Amino acid sequence: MKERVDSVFLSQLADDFLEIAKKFNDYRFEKISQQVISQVTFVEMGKEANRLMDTAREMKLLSTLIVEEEAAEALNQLQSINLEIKQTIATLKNVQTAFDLIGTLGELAMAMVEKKPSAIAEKIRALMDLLSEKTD
Amino acid sequence: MVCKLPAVFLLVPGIFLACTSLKPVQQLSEEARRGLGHFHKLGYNYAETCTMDCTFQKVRTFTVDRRLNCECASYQKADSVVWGLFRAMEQYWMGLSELASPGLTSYDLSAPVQSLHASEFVSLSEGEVSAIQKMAEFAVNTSTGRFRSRRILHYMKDADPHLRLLTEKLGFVLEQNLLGLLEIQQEEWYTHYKTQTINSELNAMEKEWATEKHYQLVEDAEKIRLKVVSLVAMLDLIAEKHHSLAVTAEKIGSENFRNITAALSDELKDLYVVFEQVNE
Repeated sequence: MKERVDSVFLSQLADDFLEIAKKFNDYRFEKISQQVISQVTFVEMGKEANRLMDTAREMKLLSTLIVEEEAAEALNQLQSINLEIKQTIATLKNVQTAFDLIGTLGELAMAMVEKKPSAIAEKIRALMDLLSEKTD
Repeated sequence: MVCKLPAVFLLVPGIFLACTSLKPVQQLSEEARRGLGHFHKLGYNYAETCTMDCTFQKVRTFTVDRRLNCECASYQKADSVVWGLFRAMEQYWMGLSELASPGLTSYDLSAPVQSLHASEFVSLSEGEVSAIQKMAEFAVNTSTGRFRSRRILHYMKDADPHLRLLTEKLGFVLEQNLLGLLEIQQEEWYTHYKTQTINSELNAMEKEWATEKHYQLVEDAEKIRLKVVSLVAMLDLIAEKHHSLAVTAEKIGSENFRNITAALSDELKDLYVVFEQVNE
């Protein structure tokens, strides 16, 4: 007997249950056609076969639910790699903002050196617009 | 003080940086995404098996309720497990695709260059400004291309064991368990309709109808089976090609990288044909 019940084991067990149910069904169909068993026995055997199949169904379902736990570590790892990829993409997108910011700051510095109040106000406005775009 | 800055100095970084094309990665991730996309076309899941069985049980027992009222919560939970595995893989390939997309680092350096031009520290003609901007953009875009290339290879290597395990688990729950449930359902159909054919209270026409209904269900089940099997084969193929690229740390522009991507594309096409034939 397997020491630890895992998803594969449960799934295979379900397959075995189904195989037994199939053999059971084959047997009762064969016997009813030969009129060896009564209609009542045929129906009762059918109910037993259905019970086996219901159990197999539950095992298949349980096997899938167990997979969540078995794959949890790999799932977490891949999700953190996905997050890292997203962050790298966001960083690369931000580089353009940095270049725009450098340009606007340079223009602001020039306006300040040249002591042009209207130009300074305009450049500060442009800078604020750029920063608000970034934070949107 | 105004200094004349030779534009050629700004060209140097660009000259030394070789161009890095990420097109093969884009092709690879697009192929993988296309393959994975067939998951959405499957049209069959755990909740569906539950509804199918629940409906069948009501039909065979002539149970007519106002609503179907099927208890499928556990099946929906199983679907969420399947979806979680699939979604992580899909997001990985979407991330790689975006990271390799040419538009991501097509930087526009007009702002800093124009700022430099507007200052009186450096005297530059319009032609020189344009040349500086173009070469600076080339240098920046090339160096970020190299950075992206290194990151992509790093991510592929890191993700590979997890991607393989998730592929294996997803394939297992689809092929062994979801199709296993379908096989159980098929056995129930078989016993029900076979019992009908030996029922002495039914006439020949009714028995014929039961037989026809059974084979129709068998045909539908076979279509589902083929779709699931070809989808699982696609998942395996994608994981296998990813693995062969990750373990050999293949350079993105290398011939082998392109060959593996082309092979993935070709082999996936065969599976698409199988899938689409039964999906009509």
